[in-house]
This record gives sequence, structure tokens and C-alpha cells, in this order.
Amino acid sequence: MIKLIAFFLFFSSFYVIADDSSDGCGLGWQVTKNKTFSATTTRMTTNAFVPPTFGMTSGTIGCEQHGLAKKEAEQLYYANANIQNLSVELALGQGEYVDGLAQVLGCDVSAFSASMQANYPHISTVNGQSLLDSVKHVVKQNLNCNLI
Amino acid sequence: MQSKYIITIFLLLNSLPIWGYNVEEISFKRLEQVAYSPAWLKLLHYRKTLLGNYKSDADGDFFFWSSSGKIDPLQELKENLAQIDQHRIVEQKKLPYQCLFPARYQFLKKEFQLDLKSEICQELEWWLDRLAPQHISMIYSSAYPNNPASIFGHTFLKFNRNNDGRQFQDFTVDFSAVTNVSSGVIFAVKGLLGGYYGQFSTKPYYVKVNEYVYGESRDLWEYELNYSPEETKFIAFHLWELIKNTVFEYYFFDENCSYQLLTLLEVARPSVTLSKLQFFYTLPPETIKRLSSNKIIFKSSVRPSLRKQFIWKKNKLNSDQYKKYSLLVGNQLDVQEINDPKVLEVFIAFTQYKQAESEGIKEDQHLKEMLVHRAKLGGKIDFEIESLESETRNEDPLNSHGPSRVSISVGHHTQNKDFVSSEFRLGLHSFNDQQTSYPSHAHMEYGKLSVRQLIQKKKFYFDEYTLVDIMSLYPILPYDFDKSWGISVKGERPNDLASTSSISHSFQTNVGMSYSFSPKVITLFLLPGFKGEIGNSINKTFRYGPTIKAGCLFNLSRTTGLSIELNNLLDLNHNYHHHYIHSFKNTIFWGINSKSQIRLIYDIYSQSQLENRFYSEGKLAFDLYF
Repeated sequence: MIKLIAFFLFFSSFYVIADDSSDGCGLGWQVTKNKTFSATTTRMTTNAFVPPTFGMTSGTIGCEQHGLAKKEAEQLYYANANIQNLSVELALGQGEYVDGLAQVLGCDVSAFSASMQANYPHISTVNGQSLLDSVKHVVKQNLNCNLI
Repeated sequence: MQSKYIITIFLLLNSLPIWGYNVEEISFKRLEQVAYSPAWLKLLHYRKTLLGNYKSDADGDFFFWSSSGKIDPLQELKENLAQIDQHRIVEQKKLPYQCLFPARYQFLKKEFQLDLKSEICQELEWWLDRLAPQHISMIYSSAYPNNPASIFGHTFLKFNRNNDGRQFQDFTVDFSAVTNVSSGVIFAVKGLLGGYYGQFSTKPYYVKVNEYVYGESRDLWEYELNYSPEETKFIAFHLWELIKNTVFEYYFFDENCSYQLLTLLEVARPSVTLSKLQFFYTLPPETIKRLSSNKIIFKSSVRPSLRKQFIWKKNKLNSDQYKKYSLLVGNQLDVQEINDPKVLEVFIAFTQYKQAESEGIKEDQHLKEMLVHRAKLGGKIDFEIESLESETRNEDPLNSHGPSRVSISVGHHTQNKDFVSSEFRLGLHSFNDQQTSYPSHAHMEYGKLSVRQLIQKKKFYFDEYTLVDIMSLYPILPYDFDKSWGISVKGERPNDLASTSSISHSFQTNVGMSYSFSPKVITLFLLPGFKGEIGNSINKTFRYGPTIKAGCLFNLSRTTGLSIELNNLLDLNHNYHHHYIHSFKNTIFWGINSKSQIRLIYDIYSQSQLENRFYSEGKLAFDLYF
């Protein structure tokens, strides 16, 4: 079964004056006050169809379609969403974001952060994909992780 | 002849077991009992109207199986029972009732002991597997610096897996308005009147941490709730029902983010009412208090904002290190010349904070160079962030004062003599209220009204009203500058005229600067601006002109302080040369507990026209928050 997964755009709370974290991707369904049968059917259809689970990052992913069932997608998703904090924490040798990356890759947390700091020049921080690839490369040479 | 056929077919149809569960077998009394039970009412989001009828908050037609489902819990119950083993066509797929309404299904099956075949719900199972709802937390985000509108905060839920350290990857549930603008008048009006739809969304927690803690420098408070895995799963089932089958109109005041989360939690324990409206609005911090008073919270923790983390780390530098850091910030030293990783890390934190402020997500070569250098130096620095977390816990919104306030005061006015006055304030927080969790430099008052009784002069009158009075101070730091500002619409007796005859209505707006000595203890502000006033007691009815608002705030603790404020207005609408009106207000406030405080006030009013004449007023007030 082919699962088409459309990305939502989830806005920050009403209270925030700063720009929302939208990147222009539209919603999977159009909300309408029109209560005619056809309008509600349409709304119902797309509303019911789109799995609501996975929100967007702040602008780096774009309207891509992910095979979210795969573990590999989770790793890329994490890298894309957290690229800034990861770039920093990998250099600092510690932090929640680094630990999260270790978990997503199935690595031992403290060995991972130490190894990444030591190999920092080899890690690309251009985007999530390049970060993930370069991190995996370092891991393969130095560590033993479950999910790579 | 034809009618006989129709009747026969009709009777046949009614007796065929394949057309849903046979509702006739259940007694009417039993149906009524369940239809009006808290469990059913909450699952369908019914609220009692002023006329005593029921109306569901859900605004999606497909949420109800009965055409009168939105207003008739009994009819809706009957129809659900009739359709419980039926299907609906959704996107050319036949989806059984159980897969569209798993919470209702579970409830009805148990309640009526229904013998039903269990269906396989592939999409639902997959969703639950990803969500892994074992336990649940309520997350609250504090205010955004220099944005008084965010003083109300925001709440969302987080589904927690078991303690396997994967907290960052846990999924959150948020209810927000779906808009295509994020500010402006249309936005505000639509938000107030339900012109937008709200939707639930789920995101991994780290996305929220990015948004709030790093992107907007807000603290995130986590309150772990004592729902069992079964209860938590039921909440997840209900969330699925809402996402799949309905939308809700978003109302800024009452059916807002916090309200919808509470209605979601309520289905797991229907006997506990969490979503009751207070004064027609739902304030996020008050919903946390409601959870606490119902003993649903068992543990709490806080993530300090990026700004707090940066300032904390900076304060951990000794004087030598601080000098080097300042040189780095002032571009007078090159990163490569620093070999102290602690100094580097503070500079990195500063850069991160500035980047977040400017909303740019560009790759910064400068930052990259710093990070490479830092990594080369190796090691890990311990800034004792746990201590920052402990300190931040003093700002727990659970301990904050309630949104509304009533006050009784007694005082003496030089001309009007002794008086007693009382005041009602709908919301929310001023520089003269105990602080606790409120942001230090945000002042937001609305819906204030006071009355006064003069003792000797035996007069009773409406004294003052405030429609809205907002002031936001942003104490500047080196290389961290933002404006301080204020706006107000209010009415008061022109105190410089000591007049009790009529109220003058004023509009004022100010923009300027503020500065803090020794973090937040002493804050100075200077805000020039403009004021316009209209009233019968004023000579020539109008006065307007440039103003200066200057003052000082002393915060002795989170519950005690002193404020001094000077206001000058140069009245341009006057024959006299340089006609100034002054007020000088001083207040000491002392919080007794989160529900009450005492204020001591001394104000002086004068105008240059009436030389050597000034009026002053001293007052002792007792405040009660609720």
C-alpha cells in the first residue's frame, strides 16, 4: 500500500508575534465554513486521510514526502530539525541534542559525544543530510552503533 | 398496495441484525443515564448553554452520527450505538467505526457490554506505535521577552514513553489556530471572534524546544501528570477521534489552546472537571493550577530559556575571563587567540542568542570557526546548569498570583481629605504586583475600575477606569538593544485639578529605553511619548502634547518591591507658555502569599499653571487575587 504523507504546516501559538515557523507548505485539507454536502465531504476526505503525526521543522525540510515508517527517516528528520543546536553541541562535546542524535543512531551516549568532538572538522554542518552522512562516516570508523 | 410493500420492507429492515446494534434492546432509562453522564458528555465535548441545553464545541459535521448530534446527546448516543459496527467511506476506503472513533468504541463496548468483532485498524495502530503513549505531561511556556501579549503563556501536552531516556523524541500535542498571518488587526479580531479554525498537531518534543527555548527564549515548564498507561492510551484514542473527524473554532479567550487540552485530558477522568471557564476565559497558567489543585501533577521541572542560559554562563566567568570575552564581543580579539574553552563557550552562547534574535538561520562562518576551535581544545565544561534550573524554579507559574484582583484601600488626599476606595481589575499584572512567575518587566492591565467614597465630603463616585495599560521594558545589555515601550487607554479624574466632577479620558503612547543594575534588582526607564486627554473638567476640554515617562523599579525579592514613576505632560493646547502637568507616583508592594498583598502608595500631582499648588495622596491598599 502506498502511503502518501503530506506535510502539515503547524504554526506557533497565537501569542507569538515573531514569524511563524511556516515555510509556505499548505495544509493537507482546506478548512471551510461551507456546510454543503460536497464541501464537507471534501474536507472530511483529506482531513481523515492525512496522518496527523509528524509536524514540520522550521523551514529546512520543505514539502517533502517521507517514508516515516522507516528508521532512516527518523534520523534524517532529527538531523534536519536540530542542525543548529547539533552544530554547536557536537563541538562542545556534550548536550541534549547530541545525546538525542546518539540515541537515534543507537550509539552509546558518552562515547558518541567524545568521538564527535574529536572528529569535529570532519563533520559537515551545511544541512541535515550532510551532517547525518558525515556523522555516520565518523561512527563507522570509531564506534559500534545499532541503528546504522 | 404500494404502501403495504413499503411497510413490509420497513419492518424487515428494522429487524435485520446487520443494520447496526439493536438499540431497542437497551432500556430508555439506561440510554438516558449514559447519554447525560460526564463520560459521554465529555467524549462529545458538550457544554451546557445558558438556557440549560447542550451544545458541542466540535465544529466538524462528521464528528456526529446523528443530524442533531451537536445539540442532542441522547440522539447522538442512540445513533452511535446503531452504527457501532458500521463503516464509513473515507478516501475510497471503508473504515470501521472502531478505527474512526476508538475512544467512543471502547467506552460504549464496556458500558453496554457489547459483543462486537474487533477490527484491525492499521493506520491507528501505526500512529499509536509511533506515539507510544505511556504517560502524559503538560508543558507550559513562559512569556517571550519584550512581548507582553505572550504574558499569557502557552500550553501543550507531551506523550511520554517509559523512562528510557528518549524524552527528546517524545511527541507533543498542540492546539493552535490555523492562520495565514501571525499578527495584525485582522488576526486579533478573527482570533477573538472564532474566525479561525484550530487544529491539533503532533510534533517531536525537540521541535518545540527549538521553537520555544532557543528560537524565542522562553522557559519550558514540564508538569508530569499521574495518568496511568491505560488512561493515557484512552486520551490518545480520543485525540485520534478529534483529528480524524472534526475541527474546532478557535477563540482567543475561551476555547483556546489551554481549554482544548483540558477537554482532551478530561475524557480519561470524566468525574474531574478541568475545563470550567473562569470569567469567560481560559488562562494557560491557571489551567496548570487547576491540574495541581485536582492533584493530577506529581512532578515538575523546567528548561531555562536560551537567554537565561547565556546570562548564567556569562556570570560564571571570572574577571580575567570576562575581559577576554568582552574583547571577543567587541571584535578586538580573534577567536584563535583564545585558549580558554570556558570563554569560548560563553561567546558561542552569545552568538547563538544573537542569531536566534535576528531570526536568521544562515550558516555563520564566524560561528563555525569558533566551534572548530572549541572542538580542538577538547574537554567538557560544567556550567552547573542544574543550579540555574533550581533558581528558575522560583518562577514556577503554580505560585503566581491569579489573573484578577480586587482591592480595598484607605487614604488621605490633601484637598479631598479622607477616603475609602475599592478597585476591581480583570487582569493581569503590573509593576506593583508580586512577581513570582510573571516576566520581570512586563506590565499589562485591562478591565480596571475603581470607586471612591470621600468621608468628610460625603461624596461617592467612579474614580478611574483602565481599558488597557501596557508597558514593556527591555533592559539593554552591551550589544543587546531593544526598545522599551508603553501604550494606554484610560480614564481618571484629573488629579492635578483635585476635581471630583468629571473623568477625563486619555490615550498615551511611549517609546524609550531601560537599563538594569545588578540583574533585575534595579531597573531604570526613560520613555518619551505622546498623550492626549479629553474631559469636561479640563480647561478648553482637551489637553495633549509630548510626555516623558521616567522611573525606577526596585525588586527586593520576587514578592516585594518598590516602584517610582514620574510623568510629565507639556500641554500644547493652552494659552500659557510652557504649561506642564506632573505626576509623581510611588508604590511599595509586599506580597503576603500568592493570593494577597499590601501596597503603600504616595502620589503627588501638580501643574505649572497653579504655582505652589500641588495635591498629594497617601493610600494603604489590600489586594486579593483570584
